Amino acid sequence: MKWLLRTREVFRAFYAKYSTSVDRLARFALSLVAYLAVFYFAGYNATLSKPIFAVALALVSAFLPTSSTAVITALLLAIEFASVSIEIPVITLILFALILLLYFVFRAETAWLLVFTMVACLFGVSPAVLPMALLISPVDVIVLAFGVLIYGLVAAVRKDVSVFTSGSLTLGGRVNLLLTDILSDPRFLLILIGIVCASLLICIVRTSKRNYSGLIAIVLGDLLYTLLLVLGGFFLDVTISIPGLLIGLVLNAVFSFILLFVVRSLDYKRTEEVRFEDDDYFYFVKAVPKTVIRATERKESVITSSNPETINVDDLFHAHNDTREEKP
Amino acid sequence: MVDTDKVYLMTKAAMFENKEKKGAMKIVSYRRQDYILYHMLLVLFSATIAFCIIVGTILFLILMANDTIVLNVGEMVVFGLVIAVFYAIVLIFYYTFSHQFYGSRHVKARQKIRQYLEIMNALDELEEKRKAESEK
Repeated sequence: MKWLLRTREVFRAFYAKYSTSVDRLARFALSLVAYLAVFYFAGYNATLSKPIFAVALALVSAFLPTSSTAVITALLLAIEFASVSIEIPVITLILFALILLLYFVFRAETAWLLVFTMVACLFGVSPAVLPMALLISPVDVIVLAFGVLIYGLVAAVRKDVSVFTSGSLTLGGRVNLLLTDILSDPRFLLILIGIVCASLLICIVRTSKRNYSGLIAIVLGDLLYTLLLVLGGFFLDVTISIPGLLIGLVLNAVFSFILLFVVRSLDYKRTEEVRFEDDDYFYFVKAVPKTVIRATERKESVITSSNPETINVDDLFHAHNDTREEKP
Repeated sequence: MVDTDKVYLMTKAAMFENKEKKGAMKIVSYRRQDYILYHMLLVLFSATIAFCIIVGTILFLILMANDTIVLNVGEMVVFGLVIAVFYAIVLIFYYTFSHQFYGSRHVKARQKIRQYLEIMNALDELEEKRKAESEK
């Protein structure tokens, strides 16, 4: 386990030095994947749905606030859906406007969750959303639900795109068909219920004051999600790929461990450059955060009358750190 | 000669200002009531627009499901009252929630600023001490 501690310190030092670039790269990666997903799953406008536009928009998004990705995704979806039928982009923009007006007005910093959830569900890896519950509060589960709703909308349009474009239905008929497709799709309902319930459980258990609450939260969340999907698939007659689900859960567990160990357990400080002056001098100060990487292993020996015992101090440090990490 | 204690304190103060320029320092620049009122008005305005969108969508769906709808004056008044009651419930909910939310945000910002003020007080004391020593 010592290599994990060293790896964590390496990440910490790297982030401390290059935090701005790492944040921009992360925004670029999420935006690129989101826009490519929109072009792949909802690419009804041949002129717009080109990878070069996705790259260009992702480059722009990297330099804008995180919430801009959600706004650009909404606009892209609206433009794509306009090629299918006029009422679908209106419904899409109404959904995004509702989440913006009712929730993002308080917490705009969670807008990336909406995009992440939509992308994860579109690519069929909805369990990947569960580790995000380690980073959010229970109220933010609303954003996850909206992300799944947007996925449901995209899936419904994809299912009946030929009917929408054929012109055989009236305006009312198309809206009715779209709403029926979304609300009566058992797979969408299963994913929505599974993600909301599992994420809520993870959020609530994570904030409890017991040791290893993060790990317990993820295990319970995964179990609940699996149970809901399997039972729901049985009762709603939905085919669930068990190998795919198991692989998704294993990856989910690995990703959660990385999140718990590398992201949540540390206070990531950044290198800061400040300038100030007084009557005598101008000061240009660079503050670099300290990192701790043990060069050598320390061992202490506790000798009792019967059995001499060797304690590895690094393991003690790791055990203490685990206890400290679990505090809210 | 560079006073290292002073540089340390000023660096801490400058780092805090950089970090909280758009955060706690901006929040504390408002009085608590003004901050809550300003953001509450924004939230209530957003909630009103969202409510209008939802009601408009529901009415549109009802109109699509029925080719014609005939209401007498009494029914229209009742319908209007129902919408008004729901609107009042939404406003009360968002009023209460935003008052709590922005109130606690202002309190947390003031706690952060207290640490900054301690640094500034320490700087003032250092400056006075230096002046007193230079006068001697």
